[in-house]
Amino acid sequence: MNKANVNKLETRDFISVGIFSLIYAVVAFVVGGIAQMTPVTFPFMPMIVALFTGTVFMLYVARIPKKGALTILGVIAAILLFVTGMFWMMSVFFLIFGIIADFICASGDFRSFRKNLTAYCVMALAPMGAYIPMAVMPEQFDAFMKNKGDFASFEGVIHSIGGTWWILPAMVIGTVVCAIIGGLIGRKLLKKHFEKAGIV
Amino acid sequence: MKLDPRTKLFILAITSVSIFLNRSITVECIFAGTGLLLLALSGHLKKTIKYTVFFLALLLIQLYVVPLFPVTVGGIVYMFAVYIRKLLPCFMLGSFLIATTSVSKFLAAITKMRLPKGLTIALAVTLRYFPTMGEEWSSIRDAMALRGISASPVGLLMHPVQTMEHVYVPMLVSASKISDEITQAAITRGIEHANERTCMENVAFSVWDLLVILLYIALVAGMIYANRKGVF
Repeated sequence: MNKANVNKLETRDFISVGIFSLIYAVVAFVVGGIAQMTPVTFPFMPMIVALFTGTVFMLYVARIPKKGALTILGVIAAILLFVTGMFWMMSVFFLIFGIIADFICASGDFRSFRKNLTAYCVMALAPMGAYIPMAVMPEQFDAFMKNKGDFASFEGVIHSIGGTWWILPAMVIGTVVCAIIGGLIGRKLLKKHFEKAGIV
Repeated sequence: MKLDPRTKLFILAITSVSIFLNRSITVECIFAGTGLLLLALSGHLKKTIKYTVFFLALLLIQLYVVPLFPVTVGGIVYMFAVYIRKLLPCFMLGSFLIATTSVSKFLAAITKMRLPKGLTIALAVTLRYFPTMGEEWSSIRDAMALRGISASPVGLLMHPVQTMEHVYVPMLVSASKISDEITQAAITRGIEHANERTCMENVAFSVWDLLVILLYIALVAGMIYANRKGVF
């Protein structure tokens, strides 16, 4: 608002950060939780989340256009995820991607929509951390079945389930596409409602 | 038995990291068992029973149901069951942490960890805003229902963008207003005071914390041993 020339976070910014981080995290939690409940939608979780958090992200950046805000968003999301017992790689991803997104946004002075959208694409990839164990698990499944002694070797089959090389890039691309859509929806809503209401 | 929130965070960290490095089912059961014991000792019997049943069910699926399926189906079921089961010990400790720690205790512990002040403020607001957000959500749902718009998953699937708009706009607008109000209130109460703040809550380590931490270190040592030896 009228403090655009002050680039340091102040108390009021920290409070906004706290509230909007919670909204971001809760939306990601609820949508992600629903998506992860069935085996079919399970791999699509980051994409579905990316569609929904776009609006919150765009408002967040528009409201607190200062360096450090997105880092704190990452830290708070990481803490909330960690405390509820989600897989810790997800927390680590949120921390790292939050910092990266912060730098991208800052390089555009938080005003360039393109840079903000890029930052959101990076941030949207954070839930991918939940799938890291999937890369290790086919091996464990193999070991488990070998222990049972029922099958000799079926590495080919296992790799067709979880270890296929293209699944990860496909998920990343899908998430980025969804993040772009989510970001565009966010910008539309921002223009339609929040700018008029004088909130941004 | 009252544990320091920092101890709870610590054992949660240990559990979540080691459970995915661990390859032995026995060790996994011990980790889960410890979590269940902590939950039970803190008096949350219902949760304890729920988690026990869930854990055992997933374990039995892996041991007895998966080998019955053809390999592909078995692989998918295995991945799903094992993935969720590996998260369960963390869920247990997470709900143990949340159920036994008041927000102010948690914040007092966070303050003692000497994180940057801004982060502490943001985190405090985040945790305090939780119930408010619940209230906001139920009023938004009521308002939507009054206007004949469904906030159910079905409505979301039929008109995703519209539903998003209907939920987000009031929620974000009210959040913006609330954040301004909180700021004014907080500044009036001297949040910008530079000196170290005192706290009503007394947070300190006790013998129990030491015991629990030692127990978890022993568990990690056991896990490393089991991994080396290839214990089932």
